[in-house]
Amino acid sequence: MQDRDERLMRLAAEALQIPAAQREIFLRAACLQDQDLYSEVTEMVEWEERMGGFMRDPLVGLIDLEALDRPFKPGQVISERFEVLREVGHGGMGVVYEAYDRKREQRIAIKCAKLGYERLSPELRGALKVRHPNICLVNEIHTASTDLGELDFLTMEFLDGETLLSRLSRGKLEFHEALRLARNLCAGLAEAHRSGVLHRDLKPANVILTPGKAKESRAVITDFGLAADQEGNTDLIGGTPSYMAPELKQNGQTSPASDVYALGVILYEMVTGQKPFPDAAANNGNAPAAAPGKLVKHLPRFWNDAILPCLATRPERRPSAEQTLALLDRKPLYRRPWVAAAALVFLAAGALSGPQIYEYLRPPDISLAILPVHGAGELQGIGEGVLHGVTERLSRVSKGKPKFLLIPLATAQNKNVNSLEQAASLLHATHVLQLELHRDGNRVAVEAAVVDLKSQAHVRDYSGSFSEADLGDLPGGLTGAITASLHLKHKAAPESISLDAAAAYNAGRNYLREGRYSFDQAIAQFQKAAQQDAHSPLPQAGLVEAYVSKYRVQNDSQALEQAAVHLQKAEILAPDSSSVRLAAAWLNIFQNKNAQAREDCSRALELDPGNAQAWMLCGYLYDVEGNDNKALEYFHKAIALDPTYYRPYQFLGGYYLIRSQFAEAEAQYRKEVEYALNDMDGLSDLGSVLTEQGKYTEAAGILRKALSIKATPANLNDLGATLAFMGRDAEALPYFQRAAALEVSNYRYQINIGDVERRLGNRGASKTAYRKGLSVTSNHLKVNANSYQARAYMAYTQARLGQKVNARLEIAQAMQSPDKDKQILLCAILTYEALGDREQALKLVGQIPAAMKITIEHHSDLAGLRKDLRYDK
Amino acid sequence: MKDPRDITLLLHKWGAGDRDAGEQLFELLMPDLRKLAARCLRREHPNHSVQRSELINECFLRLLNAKHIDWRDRGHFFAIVTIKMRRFLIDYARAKKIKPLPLDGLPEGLLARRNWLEIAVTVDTLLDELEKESPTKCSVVTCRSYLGLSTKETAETLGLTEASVEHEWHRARRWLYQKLSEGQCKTVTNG
Repeated sequence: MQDRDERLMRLAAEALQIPAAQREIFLRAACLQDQDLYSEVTEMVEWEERMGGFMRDPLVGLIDLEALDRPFKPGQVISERFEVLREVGHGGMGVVYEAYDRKREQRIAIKCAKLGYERLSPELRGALKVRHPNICLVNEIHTASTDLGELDFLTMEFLDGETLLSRLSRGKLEFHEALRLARNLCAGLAEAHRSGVLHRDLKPANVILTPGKAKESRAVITDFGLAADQEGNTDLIGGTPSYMAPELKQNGQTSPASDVYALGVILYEMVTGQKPFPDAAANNGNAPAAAPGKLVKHLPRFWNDAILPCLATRPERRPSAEQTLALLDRKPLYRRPWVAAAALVFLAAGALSGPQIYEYLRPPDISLAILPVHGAGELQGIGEGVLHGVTERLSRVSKGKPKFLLIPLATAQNKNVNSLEQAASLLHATHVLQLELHRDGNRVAVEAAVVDLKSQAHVRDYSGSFSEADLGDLPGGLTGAITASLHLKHKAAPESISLDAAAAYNAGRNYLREGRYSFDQAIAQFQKAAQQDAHSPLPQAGLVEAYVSKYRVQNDSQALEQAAVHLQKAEILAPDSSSVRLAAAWLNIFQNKNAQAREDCSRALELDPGNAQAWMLCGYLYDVEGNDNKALEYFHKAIALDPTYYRPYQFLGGYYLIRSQFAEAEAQYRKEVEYALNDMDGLSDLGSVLTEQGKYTEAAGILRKALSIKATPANLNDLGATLAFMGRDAEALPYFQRAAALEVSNYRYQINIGDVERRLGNRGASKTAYRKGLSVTSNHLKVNANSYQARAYMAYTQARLGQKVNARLEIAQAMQSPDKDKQILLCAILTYEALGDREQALKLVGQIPAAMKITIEHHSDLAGLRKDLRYDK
Repeated sequence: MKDPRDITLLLHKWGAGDRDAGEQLFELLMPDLRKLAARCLRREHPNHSVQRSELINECFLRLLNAKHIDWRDRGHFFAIVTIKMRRFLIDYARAKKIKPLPLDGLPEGLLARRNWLEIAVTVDTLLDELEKESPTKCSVVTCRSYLGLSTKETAETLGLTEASVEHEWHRARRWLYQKLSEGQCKTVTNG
């Protein structure tokens, strides 16, 4: 029977391949005497011909699998309570949406299982009770009915930030960051385990790095217990092999130890940038993972001790998350025996003349040991020469605080000290300098580091590539790296530049003083100076500042990259000079690294207390941190030091503008205009502050002047807005249009066009502009989900386009903004007016700050509101 | 956790022709089958070594948590699984309003008179009928035409030779085609 089936099917398949006319001959020959077979095949072939594709391609191929995995759609309201805003993540077994919880009135995240996982593990309910800063808060579990039956979903706190997975895609983490995040992860996991909750699918995609205090990110573990099946077994195919403990692959039970294994893999990836076991193999128990310290140069040893035990093949040999945390938290125990001895002597001698003796006997705050050079052959000698130069320069470090002791290279060599541990135990050093040289063609590659022996952290890395002729720059550069990183007081070596190069350098500086728009001329001059004197850090520092200006004006990220390149060059030459620290501060500010910038500025001030720029930038950073008094003090100090430099006025003006102190801002901006010769920013600043005060005629004049220097989109828009406030919509329109043409990605310009066209009665053009504005806004929100302003504008546009429900939803969200800025309030008022909701609009008018009154009083679209009898109350 | 004894008992009853037992099994196994069906649908690991047929095997073992179940029960089980999957797919197509089956070869007249969904639902009803006549044919159609298992996978899943799968599939499609065409005649005469 089986053979016959096989023959039958084979013949039928073959017959279908050949032309119909020849089939009969073929089949008759093939079937020989077997008449039954012949008729059966013939019939089969006829039927196949007739049926064609009927039921051939499977239904599964017709299904949109993408949609299958996305149970909710943006705009949908679930359980009459959660308004789905947008999808924000999509992973192995679930989809995450950003949503608005009408009841709690807050933004939340909704995580729902994909189809096939509709029912969340009951154990997950355990996660509801765990409250910890490193664990994502789960509010509740809900059930919704969908097209395909009931579906469980979780609501949880909405976390901003990226996943650890996406962070790791950019490479390993910097030491401090890795340590902080590792502690976070251990702490979160330990807390969950204490509460009896397992994670079961810990991996970088389930860790969110959310911005915390002082711009430092905090690691938050999400998705506790989501991976579990009801039976507690691991997922059939959904698991993530690299993070799966070996026992899980053998159908073992999940346990705290299997979570710890995943933790170990993650920590390993964080510090080394790679996984401990190659993908497919994972841990098969045969070969242990390479120690992280072997993969990463200068990696503090405790990482090995913390990570490797987590990766043990046998679960019972792994530490708990708590133990790993303790290891990462432990303060290194380098004892300095003579500290105790010195204290005894002090006690004995105290009766005589305490302070002096104490100061003399007081152990140094910093003792830096210079470790032997790593380098082959003649490089050894070159390196020792460099270290000699460093030693000599460091001997000039001023006495006082911090008390500094240099342990020279010879001491380390005598005692055969080669490692960090030995430097601590034999030399009692607190820090070491490591220097390594390699040949790189006919250049010498230098890598050096100042290492804090307590934390084993690299306080500073220094690397560069030198031609033989340039090696003379190295001792000075290295010394600067040391003095800057250890905050040593020293008489700053004068920042010198050769006479040849000085002219070009000064010309460059003058261009920068004229205003930001002279950056191209400044760059050309600094480049010339850099060619004339390749050993001076000054032209490089100037280039950093000029490129930052270019970035500021043109928003060209390549300029920022150029700035970074020049900063690196400057840092090789003289990392501890005030110009270089200031250059670093500028760049850091524009890269949003304010903490770093603050350190740079403070050091620049330490080195050169008469530097107006340093005071100004410090003031700016205080302003950002919300330290108003300090900010004002520093701005005024900068102005006192250099009263004809435009920039401190601009910063001070900005300080007042943000606080809506328009008259004060105006005074500063007038000064800015006076001293910035080749700059229209002063004019635009002044113009906009005049507009804020309702001084429209003068504002329009000033803005026109700014436009005559350079027509930037912002300028064009400002002038348009000023004219619109004066009721001159027809005149305003072309300015808005030019702004929008220059900067397509700015939604405000489109919305302004929409407003003006609408007031001019051009309904079609108005709708088109609003629609464009809406699309630009929603694109913007895709990238910056947290921009409350963009959300407010979106709401307004939706209101104008008649999308009333969306408008209400978005404006409610925008109003969640922690610092309800003016624009948002104004947008909200306009939105409610556009929605015809006078009540709400009036309610908001009651909340506006005094400084906003003028805007409300003059806005063309608020005439109706102003006439409302309730308005004056 | 379901009691594996209940499942075994129901499987026996169902195998002996007790249709109610089948329904009870559906109820009992529904969450797992739905999950299984969804995972079979989703090809999120294209290079993953797990074949769909292996998945079904694994699901079976896990559901029953007992390896001593004999082969006949296994066969019954697969039949139930595949029927359940078919239902799932049809429900899905209905909910999402997609063209629910490849019906290209059907006579023009039939296609003109009834919409895709109606035909698909009719096919579904016909398959219920077919299942009573020949559970194997019904399972083969489900595996091949709904789940997209290959001949080989279907053979492994149902414990048949590949040639038998091909043969049964041909006959099942033919049976469905004839039934549908008869239906068309009826419609035509009635109309």
